[in-house]
Amino acid sequence: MTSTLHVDSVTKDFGSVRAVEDVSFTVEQGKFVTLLGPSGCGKTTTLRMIAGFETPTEGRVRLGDHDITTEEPYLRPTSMVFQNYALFPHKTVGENVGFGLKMRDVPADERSERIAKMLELIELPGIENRGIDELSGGQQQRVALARALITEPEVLLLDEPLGALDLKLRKNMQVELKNLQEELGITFVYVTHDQEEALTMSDEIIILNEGEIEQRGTPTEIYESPQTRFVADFIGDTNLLDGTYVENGNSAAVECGSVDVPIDSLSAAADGQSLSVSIRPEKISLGDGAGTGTGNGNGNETAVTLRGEVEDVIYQGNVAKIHITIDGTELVLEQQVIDTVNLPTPGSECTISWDQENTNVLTG
Amino acid sequence: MSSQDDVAADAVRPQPTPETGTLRERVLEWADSEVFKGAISLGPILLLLTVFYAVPVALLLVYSIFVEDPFASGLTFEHFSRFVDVSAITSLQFSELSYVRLLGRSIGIAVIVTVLSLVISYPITYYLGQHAPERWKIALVMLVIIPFWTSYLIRTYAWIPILSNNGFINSALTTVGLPSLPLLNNYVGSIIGLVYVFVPFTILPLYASMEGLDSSLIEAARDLGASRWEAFREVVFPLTLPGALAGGVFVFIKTAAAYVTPSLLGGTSGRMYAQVIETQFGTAFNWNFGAALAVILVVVVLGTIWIAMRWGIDVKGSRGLGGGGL
Repeated sequence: MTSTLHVDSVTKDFGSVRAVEDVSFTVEQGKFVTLLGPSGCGKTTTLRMIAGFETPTEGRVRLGDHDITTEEPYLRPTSMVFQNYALFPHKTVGENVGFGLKMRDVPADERSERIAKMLELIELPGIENRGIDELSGGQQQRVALARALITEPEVLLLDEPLGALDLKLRKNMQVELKNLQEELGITFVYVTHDQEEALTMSDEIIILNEGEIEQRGTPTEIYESPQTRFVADFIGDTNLLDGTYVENGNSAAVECGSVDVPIDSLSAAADGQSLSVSIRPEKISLGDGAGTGTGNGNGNETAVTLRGEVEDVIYQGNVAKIHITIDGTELVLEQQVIDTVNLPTPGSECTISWDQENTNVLTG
Repeated sequence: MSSQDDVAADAVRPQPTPETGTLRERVLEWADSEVFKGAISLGPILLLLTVFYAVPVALLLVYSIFVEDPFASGLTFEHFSRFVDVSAITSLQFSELSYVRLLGRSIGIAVIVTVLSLVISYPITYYLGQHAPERWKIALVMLVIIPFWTSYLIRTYAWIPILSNNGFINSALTTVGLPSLPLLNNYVGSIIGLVYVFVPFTILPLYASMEGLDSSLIEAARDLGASRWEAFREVVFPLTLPGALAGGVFVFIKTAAAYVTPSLLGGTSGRMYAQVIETQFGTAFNWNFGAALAVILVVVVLGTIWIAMRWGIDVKGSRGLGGGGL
């Protein structure tokens, strides 16, 4: 049975506050989709509407052909993993994991068999009789996952499930979650404010801001081609330059203060329109300032080359952040540190260049 | 070595510091000791409890085992055997019940009042703790407390025009053509009056438990297939049981020994055990028998609470009675 999750023009108001505005997306079965955004962007509310804890003010939620907009949470084939795990503190690990089966009147024998299997899946076999307070944070997280998965939901909803774990454990769990999802073939809808987490795990990312969808796409699309100023700024580090669009014959540029950033001419933009451009720091390469600046070294004729001065060098171990000023406009570029001797010295002249296709024109 | 040798040896040996220090040093050292600090902080309350609680209870015990004046008359068990004598009737005036049956009825009424108080408190506190808007919570909790500003006696009297044969409820019933109900001067009146007086005592601890209950636990249960009732039974009830037991035990103790409410609203069939104890002390001047009746009440109430606690631990399961209002 394949059932695609449809969220159709969903809006949610809490009193006079609009938490979610006209959000629509579909998730094909077996996909890992992340709702990403800062706190208060409506991602958790959207997830809770899919789970059935909130009823949309407008719009529908469907699973396959089945309209579940107003269905009680306990009748939906969805399961949720809560941010704080919400494990029952008065029940053992086994009772927690088997809770969904007990509610479905699965006989005790079958229940304990399936609990044991589930605990094996999460690599914590034989801990049925432990108390929840005897588990570490990471173990609790796995048990919460097992409890949600044992009822074999069609859609697993995860609300910042790794938020409480320390960095190293979180990174391990990211990989494990992704592997588990691929193994089980269950649709995952994952909510996070951590962009790195979203990029690591997702098949597709939906970026929400102030209750509305800013952009959706694969991690590569989102990172490499942000369409709005918000997305470019929210995902990773970037150089954001605000300016005006200038068309000159068959060439075009965005004038950003002292810097003109050449772009392909836009049919949608008029001369003098305000535009922003985003260039990722790692896309910019550094020349020595004496040379003519041959782009990023591959002789690409669409390279953008600018002259500037090294303002500051921030060494971060594997990479260095190099701040460049071009007549008062500051750009940051990121360089792999292969040899610390080759790092530029502040105050020295330099050229910087990047491939023009790495200039993202932001329309929103 | 004999003990005499010990003493002799001690006298010769140089003494440890406290003995050699000045009086001032020794006092200061003692004042700094844990024993002294403990005595200072716990002392007053211990003294208060001893004088006003332990001594009277001990006096009751003493009175109950003497024929008449304590230590001036002989020791006896006759007051306790009079209690279990089913042919003896309890009252000089009204009741025809034996003492054992009257105690049984009082405990029964106390159980009913406790259960009703909890049944009423659960939905109220569930709403207050889980759903009430934050800014209204304090005002709503105040509504529970406000009745305490009026005298208990006045509030109980107020029930008479509500419950009597031509009171508010019954005139409303007869107006719409329904038969009137006997609500006053019977055990129904006692129960209504007691529940009214004691419901705040179950609401407040239960509210504390509900307030502390993480709402995502209820959502998790619902998400995993529990109906509203199942979510209550599996999650809300066991996790708020400490609060319910704290309130319930208090209400049970107070109602098992209720005197004023049954006197005003209970009539003959609503008569309770504490009224007979009062009769023995007040009217019959048989302090020894009255004391025996009181001792029996204390034992029975403590026994009932012990059973309820055991049950509570069973319900909460292997995780024990942790946290909450207790």
